[in-house]
Amino acid sequence: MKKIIMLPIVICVALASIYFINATNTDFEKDLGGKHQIKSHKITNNSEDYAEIQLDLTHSSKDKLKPTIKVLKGDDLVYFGEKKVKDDTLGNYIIELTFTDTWIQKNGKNQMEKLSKDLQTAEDKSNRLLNNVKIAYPPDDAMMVLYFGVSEEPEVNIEEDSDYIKVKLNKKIK
Amino acid sequence: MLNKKLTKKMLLVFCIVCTLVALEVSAFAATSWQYQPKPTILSRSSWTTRAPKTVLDNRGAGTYLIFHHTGWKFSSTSQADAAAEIKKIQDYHMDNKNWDDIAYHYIIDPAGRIWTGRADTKMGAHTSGYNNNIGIVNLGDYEGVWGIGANSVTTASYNAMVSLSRYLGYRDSLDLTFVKNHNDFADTACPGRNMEAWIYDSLAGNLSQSMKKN
Repeated sequence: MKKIIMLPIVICVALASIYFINATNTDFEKDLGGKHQIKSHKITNNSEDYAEIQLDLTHSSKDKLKPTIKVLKGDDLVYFGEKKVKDDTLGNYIIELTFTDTWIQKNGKNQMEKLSKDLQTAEDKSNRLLNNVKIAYPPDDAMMVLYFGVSEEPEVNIEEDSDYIKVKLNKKIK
Repeated sequence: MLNKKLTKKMLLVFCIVCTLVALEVSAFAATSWQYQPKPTILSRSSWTTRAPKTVLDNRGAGTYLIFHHTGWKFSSTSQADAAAEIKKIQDYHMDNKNWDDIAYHYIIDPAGRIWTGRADTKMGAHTSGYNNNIGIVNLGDYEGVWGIGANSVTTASYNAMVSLSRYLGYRDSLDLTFVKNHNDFADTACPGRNMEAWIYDSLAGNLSQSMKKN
């Protein structure tokens, strides 16, 4: 009798173990690899003094993203292909976020290209801090760079959570 | 009397120091590469007809061979599959990353074939700040991300790494410390935990046996 009761329990435990052992993150694009992938992004604020961009993420490990942040002047050189060039479309200041082992998914890349176009073709370009966004790949097979072009000198803060990163840009008070 | 003793002692110390320096210098100068034959390297035309987008800058003299993995799991030993995989990487680098060509100078597949990437006289696009050095990539993911599982270094691919490193070390008269992992220069998992130890513990030791005392 005991054996009859125990058998289904043992089978359930075995099946659950197989499920959890084989469970993988299905939220990633296999072709991209990397340890982290940016799935999508959205501008949650873009006023004269403040802009906020949220990047939605998926990770293959518990490692944090830890991008390096640089604030460049508008006429500083930025990555384009394997070289660095001057890019007049970004604005007076450029925030350069460099990621390693991180790739942007196809949907996120298309979204960013569309966002770049929308920002540049907008009729009213006043009353906004963020001018343009761009993706670039320095000549290193583990690196990716996101550029945020802004009209005024910014202060940059990063808020990082397990499934997103928020880039917060405040107009610097002089 | 005291002065004489002190002078003798100082002379002795000076002689010992000179001997040690001479030994060190001679040990450094007395090693060089024995002749190393060029391994079979498949031509670029065996996997692509796509030329670089532009005339690439010359690489000049490098110091290191820098090892990478592609980060995409690949285990096939078929030549056709490897050729298709390398072409996929070239297209990804040129179309998605907007680079001028595939990033690496040499590619090694799990069956131990060595393939020509971009010309090794030209700058690479594999390690930011160190692209004047030769970049060698192994097809596969040797870190194991997204729960897919990692590749392991095969005997054939290891032998290919040894023969290619020996040949390039000999050809370019590189110093013994010339084999490096990508993550020696950047905060990255590349070339993956299953590859890293091979490069330092085994490959570097193996290469030192190819040096001779003059």
